[in-house]
Amino acid sequence: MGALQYRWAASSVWFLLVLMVAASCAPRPQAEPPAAEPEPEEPRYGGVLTRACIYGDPETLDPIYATRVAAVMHIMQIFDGLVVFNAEKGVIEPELAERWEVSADGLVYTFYLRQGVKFHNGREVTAEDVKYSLERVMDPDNASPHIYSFKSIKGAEAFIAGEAEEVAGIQVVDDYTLRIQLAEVDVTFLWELADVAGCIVPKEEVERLGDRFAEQPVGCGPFKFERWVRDSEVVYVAFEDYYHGRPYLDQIVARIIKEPATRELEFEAGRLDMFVLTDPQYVKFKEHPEYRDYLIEVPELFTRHIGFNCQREPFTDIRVRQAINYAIDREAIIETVLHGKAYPALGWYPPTNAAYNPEIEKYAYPYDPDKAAELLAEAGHPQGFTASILTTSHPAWGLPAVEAVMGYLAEVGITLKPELVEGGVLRDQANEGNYDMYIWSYGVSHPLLGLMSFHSMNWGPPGNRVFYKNDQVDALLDQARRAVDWDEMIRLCREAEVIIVQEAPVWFYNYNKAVMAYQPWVRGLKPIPTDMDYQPLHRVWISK
Amino acid sequence: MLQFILRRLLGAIPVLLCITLVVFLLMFVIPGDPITALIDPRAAELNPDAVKLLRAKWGLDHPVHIRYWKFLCNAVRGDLGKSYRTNQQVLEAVLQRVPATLQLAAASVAWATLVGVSAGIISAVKQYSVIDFLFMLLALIGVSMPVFWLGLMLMYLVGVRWPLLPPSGYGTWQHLVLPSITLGSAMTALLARITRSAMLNVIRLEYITTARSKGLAERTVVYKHALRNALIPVVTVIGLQMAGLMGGAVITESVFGWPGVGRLTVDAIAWRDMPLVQGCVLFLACAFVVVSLMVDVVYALIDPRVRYD
Repeated sequence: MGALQYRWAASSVWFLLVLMVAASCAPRPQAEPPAAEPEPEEPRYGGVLTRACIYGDPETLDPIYATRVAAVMHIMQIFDGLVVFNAEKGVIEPELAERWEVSADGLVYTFYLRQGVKFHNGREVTAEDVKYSLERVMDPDNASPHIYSFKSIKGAEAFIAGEAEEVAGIQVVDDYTLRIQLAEVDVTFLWELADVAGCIVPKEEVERLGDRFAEQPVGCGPFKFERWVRDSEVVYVAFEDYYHGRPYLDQIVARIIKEPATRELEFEAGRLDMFVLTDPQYVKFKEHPEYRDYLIEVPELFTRHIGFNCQREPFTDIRVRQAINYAIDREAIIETVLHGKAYPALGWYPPTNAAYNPEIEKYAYPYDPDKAAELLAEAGHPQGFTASILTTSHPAWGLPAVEAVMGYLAEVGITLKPELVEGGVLRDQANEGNYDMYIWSYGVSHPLLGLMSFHSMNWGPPGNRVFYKNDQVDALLDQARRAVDWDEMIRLCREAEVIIVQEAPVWFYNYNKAVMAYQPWVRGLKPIPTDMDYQPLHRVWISK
Repeated sequence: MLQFILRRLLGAIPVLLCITLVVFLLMFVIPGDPITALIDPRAAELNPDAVKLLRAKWGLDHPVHIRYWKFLCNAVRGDLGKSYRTNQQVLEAVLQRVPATLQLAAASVAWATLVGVSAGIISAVKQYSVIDFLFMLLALIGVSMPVFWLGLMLMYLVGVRWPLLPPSGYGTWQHLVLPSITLGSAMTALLARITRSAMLNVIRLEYITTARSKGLAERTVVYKHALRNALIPVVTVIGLQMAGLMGGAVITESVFGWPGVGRLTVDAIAWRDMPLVQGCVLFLACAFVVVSLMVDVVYALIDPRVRYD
């Protein structure tokens, strides 16, 4: 082959490559930024909403076995419970029960059910269904991971142990009235009822379908299950007889797309109506002329933090823990490592938690390396010290954040040695107290449960992995556990949080900024702090 | 031939047994508890008794050898157990994904064979020509190109920029085009190079010169005499690749949201879902055994000198 031929061939290949790269790099013909579209006055019925399931295939669609977002995001569209957690307001609201009464001692709950509520098979929901559904969760033969969710109900423990035929504390007064007697005051009881395990199921369908109920669920929620193609999609359609009125949407197609780049391309192709953004995607979308006006942002109910082993030197000294809090510029790390997709944590409660205390700012730790050095010197470590930190590779609260923290701590003489481990290993080591420091993200929606991870009775696996102990905090949390009055419980939790912030058993890092991108034609989405995918979709509609 | 096939199938039994044992031990050794991996950590810490109950339900409180023995006893009866995570029968979970896996593997192999073998033949016949240079350069690019990048490029170009095909998903033939091209690209390149080199070896042999000297048409010489004898290494590569694609398509499956066995396997490992991991690995091992057996059978069909009697 002659030199000329070679040159021709080489040029052709280069031309092809350049064409490919140019095609991918060239700016897309972008639409003009959308003019402020006038909101139609009335929501429209009809249309199909396509959403992405970023956590993958659901493990089940049976409420008593679901524990993860991947499953709960579907179950909450198909099933309803007695009460529901309004994540926006952080409170419990009526659902199947139109109202309830609590006795003065906080031990007896009487629920009054709505009349005319139907399951998807057409049968009316009665108090017997509620009793059956709660007992199904506690039935030891079903081995539900939620089996102990309602253990505060009188007789629950005997039922779980197989010593009773039914749960004594659940009494059906009539078709529309249910009385539940608790063995002890439980401020989380309504929250447990609002959780996935509290979904009401029709007995005849559970018995007819057996194990298949997990694949062909029948509930009384706004959407009826239609099909589930494993690892591909879950489809549900509007339930015409829903007691709050038919949902606006005709159908929801929930596509299982775990790969972030694929979700983005599907969204750009207009084949996906909404999806939760990753940190790098947020950078692109918040600047994007088309999409920046169609983002919902909310602080999630998770507190990312670095835990100190409070029973191990030098972290037994409060001043050392405080020094580390002063030594690190969390805002700078959020901007650089997380591209601004987080809110700085000033205390334990995110602003979306019902117990969030705006006053906590007074006790928070600003970036002050001089103060940090001063505290370290006072604590007997003027030259600093060396400590290890357990970390995962998580992009937001793993190694990248630790690497940033290392630089700040080095400035005050602290040498940090990261130990990269898998999440389960980190949890096991933290449970055993076999560490100096760890970085993690933790959160539950109930204000008290969120703080119980600082109670000394919960050292290790139950949640207090920093092995923190403060008698005053313990006493406040014990009082909060027995508080019948909601406001009183919130007050006690806030008081405990102030002490925790002052004693700094953790470095308060940030709360995730959950961001959902949606197409301009989607209306009615809400900022949900528990997880942006927990959208109550029956009030969502499509304007085109 | 039948005896040979039976012998091979019987020989596969100890192989499969070894594989199950190795997988079982590996899953036992790797850190992480299946139950705490399966249920939400917050739920686990709020209800530690529930964790104990689940451990008992799945037999995780038994010693490892008892668990393995139980698994084997059930497996020989065709019961691979239930997935810890989904409570679904493992056999059913794997079989649900097999059609998608076969569709993707078959489509990839089909177009890779068609394009790769054709390019290899043309390159060999036109050795040192511009077209040979082009094909081999493209083959080099095809082998070197990361599947992930190629997949995303195709999705962007053909799915978003010029919306001719759905970027991802499963269900219609249109959904199959991009993932099969992505998955088959490396194989196409490999086949082109293997075919070219095999063809060049054969074309230089004396019987080809004899065929030409007898005045046979070049097409007959190439396709009837040369290609048939050059096919043995090509068939070997196709067989190995086909078996590899069954479980090795996980990146393509993830990028395109394709519900295949590869993705199921990786998810099962991530969730420490031992019964499901065993089921997936058994399927993949069986696929290897069957495909390599098919390759041996095809050898005998294309080369009369190969006999298994």
